[in-house]
Amino acid sequence: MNLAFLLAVMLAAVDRPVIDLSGGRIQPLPLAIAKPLGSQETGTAIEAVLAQDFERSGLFRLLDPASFLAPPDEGMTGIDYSKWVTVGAQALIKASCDASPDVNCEMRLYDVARGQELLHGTYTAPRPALRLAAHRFGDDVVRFFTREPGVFQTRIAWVRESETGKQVMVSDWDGFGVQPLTGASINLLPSWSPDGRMIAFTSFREGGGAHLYTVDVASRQVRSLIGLGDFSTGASYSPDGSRLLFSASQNDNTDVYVAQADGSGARRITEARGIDISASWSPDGKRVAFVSERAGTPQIYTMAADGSDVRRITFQGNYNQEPAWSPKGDLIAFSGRDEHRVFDLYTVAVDTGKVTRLTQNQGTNEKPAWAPNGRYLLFSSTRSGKRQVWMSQPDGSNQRQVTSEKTGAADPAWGPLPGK
Amino acid sequence: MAFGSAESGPRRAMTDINVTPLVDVMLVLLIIFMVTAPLIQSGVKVDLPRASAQQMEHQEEKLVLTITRDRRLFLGNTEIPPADLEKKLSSNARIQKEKELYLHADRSLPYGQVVEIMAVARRAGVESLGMITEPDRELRRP
Repeated sequence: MNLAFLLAVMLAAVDRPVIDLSGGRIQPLPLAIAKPLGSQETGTAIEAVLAQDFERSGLFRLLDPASFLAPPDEGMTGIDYSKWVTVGAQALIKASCDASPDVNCEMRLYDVARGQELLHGTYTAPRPALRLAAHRFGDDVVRFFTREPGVFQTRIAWVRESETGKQVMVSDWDGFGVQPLTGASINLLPSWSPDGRMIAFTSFREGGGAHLYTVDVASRQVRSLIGLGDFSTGASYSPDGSRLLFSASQNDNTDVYVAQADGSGARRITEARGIDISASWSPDGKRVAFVSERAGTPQIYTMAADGSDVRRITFQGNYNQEPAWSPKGDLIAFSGRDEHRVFDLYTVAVDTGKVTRLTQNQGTNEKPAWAPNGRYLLFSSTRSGKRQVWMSQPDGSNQRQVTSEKTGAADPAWGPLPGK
Repeated sequence: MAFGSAESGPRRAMTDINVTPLVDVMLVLLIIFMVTAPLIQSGVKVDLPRASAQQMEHQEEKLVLTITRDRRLFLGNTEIPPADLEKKLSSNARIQKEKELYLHADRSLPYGQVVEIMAVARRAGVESLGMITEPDRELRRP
């Protein structure tokens, strides 16, 4: 190895603070959010959203404002960084919002140890979009430290469960801003189109079995997509948005099919007897993970997108289901039934077959769904009573509740990154 | 493969110099030079007690609590009201992580006063309390 190269790498690393995402466990960065300047009402609301985003992300450790030593009216310039070093901060955030009815905030990020400003921007939004303005700055901070896009501005879809039915909902990534997309007949298994405009879902809305529909996220207009065989279920958009995977049952045999995104040209790609279901794309769109009971028990398999080259991936347990291929392509998350007959989340490395358990002794955990940047998983869990949507990091750390629905929530799906 | 051929092939003299340890040492030296931080800084003037104990080397900026002759408290360079001391220490992320605090107290302070501060620090989670003293230059020999 070349010493000059190493030196250059080290100097680059010293040049600015980074949060290293390459290793196993992330070392959270100690971050102080100073009391807002200007309008306290707007500033406090913005900072509360930011603090929650950073806390949930697992990337930052927020410092207790009670420990702060700087005067609360310390401005955006002329900062006495030693006062922030003393409380253990490595990064500092300051917000100054004006008193207009809309959100108009100047936000800055500082590197405390080197005593310099890192980011500086004005964030404006109409009042109802206050949370979004905060999420936007939060994503800018995450991108600065990790050089990867953050997920604070993303939206998620899930299914509200009640006695009257199941309804597809959308919300922000943190569970705020909940909006219904469909009525309360039985609607299941939402899947985002890669541009975030459409959600495909499975519904019994017209009676006589399950069929596939799409709903336009903005207008909430529902269109019929595919109604093949006795039932069609579990649509999943390919990463480029051109094709759909789904399962359909014809002649008492359930198989995986692929079709154009508009539902046309459906073609069967599995031929085994018994059920083949729950298909999920690899991030390059070349392979498909799915569940098959061809070996007697439901197990996870992968195959090429044309149905050739089938490989079995899971060998432990006798009920493995709901595969979700990670955006980086290295892992497939799934839920598996353990010896206590409870479903928990696992990941399996596609190359090595190494299985990692993510949940244990915390109710039933099912339906993993990846964040678009691959840093988090959504899933459903019964640990807090009714089934709710939860999130965690891919190693199972940092598990947090996302939805708080009185009657329950399930079937999460994470929407794409903004601007895609 | 350059390694692991002991049982498979004939013995040969190793002609390559393994540079990995050298690079490691160089990197450590580099880090030490880059991380050399200023010594304890304190803008607050106090007359320190003299002691002939071994002097400690300061590798980095430590967390210092200063008590002046007129009994004012400074955490780092910030004056804090005595009533807030425990709250400021117990909420401080560095103390909760490093469990370490350096006391920089004027030599004229009564012993009881200093012990009282030490007790507050201990309650706030400080496990290792350093006393900053001025090395005694005219060391008297018995």
